[in-house]
Amino acid sequence: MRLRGYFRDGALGPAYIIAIVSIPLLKIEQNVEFLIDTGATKTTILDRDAITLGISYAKLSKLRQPLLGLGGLVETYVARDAKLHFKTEEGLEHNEVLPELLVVKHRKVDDNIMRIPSVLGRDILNRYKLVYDKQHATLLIADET
Amino acid sequence: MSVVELISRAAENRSWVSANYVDLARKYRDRWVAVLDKAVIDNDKDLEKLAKRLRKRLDKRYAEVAMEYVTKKPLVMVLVI
Repeated sequence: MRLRGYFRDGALGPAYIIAIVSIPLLKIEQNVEFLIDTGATKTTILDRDAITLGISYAKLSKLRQPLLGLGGLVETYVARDAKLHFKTEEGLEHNEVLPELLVVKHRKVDDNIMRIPSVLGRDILNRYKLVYDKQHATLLIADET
Repeated sequence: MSVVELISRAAENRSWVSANYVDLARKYRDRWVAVLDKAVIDNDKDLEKLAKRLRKRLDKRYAEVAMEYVTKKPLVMVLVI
């Protein structure tokens, strides 16, 4: 299995990958562009994608432990039994089941907060080999050795 | 539509936004644009309003749409969550 991502936003631009997020409990199925973030413990939906997904925070449970980012602590919710669907290089579907998909809600949302993308964290990345090679425009998540 | 097809279409829309970002930022400065079939189909200053409108208008095809904030303002991000 090989999942290919891409780089954007110039020389210092990060790598992204597209997935379809499905949360059966909320009847949600929508594409999300995830930033590949080895600094993130868990895959997390940020404010802007929570809006485009149409997430109702009232239907989610609150995360017990605090979520700490560089901006401080933020209110965080948990969507249970979410799935991320990817397209492999071979054109097949690959699914990742997430018992806990985190969803962040900033108290005060401005244009800059809304620009922060959702992140694909180590709960998924640590299951695979990650090739991050900006010089050759290669971002690969693979299960091969 | 299969999930694979859905991802392909969504990727095409997002790729189109990236390729045309400078022009989009000039035309729709500091607004959210919605792209479907490699064309801007709607825009708004408020993402929530845009998303609600599109969900109603597009039904199942909503899942393919790329929504992006287009601006000339630079942003430095350091992400750790």
